Amino acid sequence: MRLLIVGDPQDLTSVYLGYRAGLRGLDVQVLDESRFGIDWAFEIDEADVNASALIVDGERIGFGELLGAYVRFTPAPGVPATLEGDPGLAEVYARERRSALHLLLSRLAAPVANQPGFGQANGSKPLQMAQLQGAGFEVPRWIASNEPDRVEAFNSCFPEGTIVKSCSGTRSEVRLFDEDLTRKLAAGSPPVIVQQRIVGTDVRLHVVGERGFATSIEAGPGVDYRFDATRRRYAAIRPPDAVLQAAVAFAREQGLLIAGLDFRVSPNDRWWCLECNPAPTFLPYEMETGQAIADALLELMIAARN
Amino acid sequence: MTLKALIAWPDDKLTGAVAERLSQRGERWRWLVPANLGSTSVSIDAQDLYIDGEHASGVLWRARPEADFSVEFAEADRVFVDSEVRSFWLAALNLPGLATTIRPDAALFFSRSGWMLWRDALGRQGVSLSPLHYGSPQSAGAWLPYGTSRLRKPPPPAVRPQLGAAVARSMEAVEVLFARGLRCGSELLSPAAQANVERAVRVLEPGGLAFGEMLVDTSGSILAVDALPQVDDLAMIARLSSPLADLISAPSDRR
Repeated sequence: MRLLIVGDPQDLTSVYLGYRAGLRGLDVQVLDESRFGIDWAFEIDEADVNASALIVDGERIGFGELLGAYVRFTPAPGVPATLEGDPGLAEVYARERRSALHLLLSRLAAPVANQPGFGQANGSKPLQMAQLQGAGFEVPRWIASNEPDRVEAFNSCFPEGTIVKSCSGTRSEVRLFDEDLTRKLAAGSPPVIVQQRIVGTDVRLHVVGERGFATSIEAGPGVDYRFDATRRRYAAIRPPDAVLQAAVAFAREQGLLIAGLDFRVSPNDRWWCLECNPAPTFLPYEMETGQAIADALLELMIAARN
Repeated sequence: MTLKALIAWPDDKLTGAVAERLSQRGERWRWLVPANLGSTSVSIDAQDLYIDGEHASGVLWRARPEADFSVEFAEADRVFVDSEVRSFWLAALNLPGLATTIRPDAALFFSRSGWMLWRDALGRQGVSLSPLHYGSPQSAGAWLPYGTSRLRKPPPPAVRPQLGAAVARSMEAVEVLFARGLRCGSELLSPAAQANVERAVRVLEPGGLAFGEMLVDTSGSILAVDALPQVDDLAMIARLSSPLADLISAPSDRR
């Protein structure tokens, strides 16, 4: 049985998962997106499903021989030299190749962590917050707007103030609301999310199947711990059962074998859910706390195939 | 009376016809050009959409998600602004208080390979699909690129593996537009094929697609679905304008 590592072979989390799989004696097959169609390809014939196979360096690998797939794509894929001619077309070809990989992964009978189309509401924070709220999580109140008067009125509702973040999944630093924001909005800006500020501790909860691995993050005085390297310390903690059950159910409903849910836990122990990452980089949390997240994922795939 | 937003390029004749229909009914509407969405004053909360401070209850969405939404911004900011606008409107189109022609799944907005998602949804519900061959097919009647819903001449065999090409047996297909009870093009199909189209519509409508176009092969099986069809035929536009105006004027059934 082979584990596929799909996408970017330089991705550290992928490299680590492949290493952990090797320690268990599993065969690992890397499918490098940049070498798709050159070193490896695939065949899927809907008129003859038994003919479906990967072709790697000339060897045919039936889909039944696969343990599972772990997927980490690079944000900006390139194309082989043969498709590079026209820069405009190269971009189209790159998208076609990425879509073809999505198609391939969607047709595998083995577990895929994660299917690229699943959990994509993470790329639209307002949509995902609505989903999280619908799933029973406590989500801080929010609006998405570029209207200065409306965001000022919203901000005035909260004694602890509000925070500001982007609507998309683009990595950007969360900041406190201030007058500078209303000035920028008045000058012309796309909508931003303004959200009730919750004072408390950051917690990342990784869900792998039915299992949960919660990590509290002690950081400096900044609003966004991801951008604050000072005094950052990770500690494994036990989440409340209700939160874990809701997180497991949410990941399952989204079709995610592994998910990273971010919480802010207030001093009165209310777990406020901020977002769910469908492609979580669990490596720093595992390294700092010793929680065996990679092994849990491998065990989930092995159990599914047995 | 609440506002209806028409989000379409200025030359979209279909949107023009819907606007005319709304005016005849005394409905208030506003046409927003996708390129200017980045600088349009908008807000959403968990329920509703506001445009320039005014509550909007319906949206006709005619912009491809990969469109440029940021022409009024500096070149260096456009990628970011496009991404923010795309994310905002994806959430807006899924608001429970909004009547719209499409409630896109996030994967549809971000993956740009829409027909695959709709096709899979149809297949799961037992709708007859025209078989495709993916990957490195040696024989190919027609190519169905992932980013479009139109059949094309197949790429050279040497290039197919690098594109993971999806190919169909034949270039022959019938286009069927659907919106509410209206079907344009299905009269060319056999009764069995029409029944398959109806089965597909019954999957697509509750799945978030109230208006679109299906590509149907000569045996009546579905090849692909286009969630944002280009419509240029004036007779078809005249037939579609009323059901589309109905769609965005109806009270949302999800509030």
